Amino acid sequence: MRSIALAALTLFAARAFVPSPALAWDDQGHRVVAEIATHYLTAPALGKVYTLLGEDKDMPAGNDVAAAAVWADKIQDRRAHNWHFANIDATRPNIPAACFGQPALPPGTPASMGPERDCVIDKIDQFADELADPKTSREEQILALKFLLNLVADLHQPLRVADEGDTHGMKTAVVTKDTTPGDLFTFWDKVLVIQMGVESKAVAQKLIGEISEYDRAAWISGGPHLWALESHQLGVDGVYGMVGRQDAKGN
Amino acid sequence: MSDDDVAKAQKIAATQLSRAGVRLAYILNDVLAPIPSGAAPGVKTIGNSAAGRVFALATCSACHVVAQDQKAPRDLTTAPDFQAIANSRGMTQVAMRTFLASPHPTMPNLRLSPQQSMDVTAFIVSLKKATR
Repeated sequence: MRSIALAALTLFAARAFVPSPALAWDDQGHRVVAEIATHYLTAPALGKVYTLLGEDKDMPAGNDVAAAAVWADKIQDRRAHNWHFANIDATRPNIPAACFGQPALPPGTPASMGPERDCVIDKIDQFADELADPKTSREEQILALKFLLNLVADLHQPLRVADEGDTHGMKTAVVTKDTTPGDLFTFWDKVLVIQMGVESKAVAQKLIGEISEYDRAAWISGGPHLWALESHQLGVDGVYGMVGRQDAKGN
Repeated sequence: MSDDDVAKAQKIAATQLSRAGVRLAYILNDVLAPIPSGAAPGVKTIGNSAAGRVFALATCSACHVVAQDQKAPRDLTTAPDFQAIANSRGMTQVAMRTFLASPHPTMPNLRLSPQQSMDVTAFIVSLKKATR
């Protein structure tokens, strides 16, 4: 009975996720991250990624990992909105508070049907656990993979995990010599990425060429919790630090 | 923003995209095609975890919850509990030592002796709960 209920929940989840406006790292950023990840996947892991995406009825081309990485930004279910953020306050950072108390998934509940009030850190752990568990339904594994492809990138967008009371930079204006005036969030989410190039595979190849073995060894240590704090600190020092606190408060 | 700031922003964005790609691959490799290693809970670690606990209580407890029974109040409440660090995905003694040996913006630049590093990482890994 429980497995039937889970299957029904999963089917409901699959139907509920229909395309909607973008949420984080514009498409190009997600595609670049997916291309870099694909480069570093082992052959067995890449084979499983292709197999899962190939079974996904939402995706027209099963081997297009970059396209799958954008899927979670296009879904219309507002329940998943918070899952792309961790609202870590810049002056009083507190991960549990930023993650709504880090609620545990109710027993038997798929991560894709988890509480609306949860954060990107918890959701990465939950979806990774599901993907590792052979008892997870195939439909939920596919959803878990597509969310992971998207959310790990979001965790690394500094303004997704830092907020100085300006809605993650959306209320702070940015003016540069070479770009149209806009808000800080869009500047980081889109403008900077597009400046790297419009062809995601080419941008990814360039970045891969600059990644040393030492970088890789250092970067994989820690886990989502520490990676979020690292990204948050970049947001506080490297992003808000550049525009100045007065601008960030809208003064 | 000045041209210098834009250049700095481009560098940060490029690094974050690269980190995200490497870490995404790391997670997917770990969950879809894990390679058996000596990092599983219960596997012997190098170092003296009891000495590591004493060192951590003296050195790290100003920011971290090192042990549930620690008495001293923390100066910061942002740093993760050692239990949470131990249970982070992919956390092994090697990964923890690599993390401590490389600079991180959220932590002081620790200069641990090789023995201190082995002891404190042995202690942290010993806190890992066998959840997976």
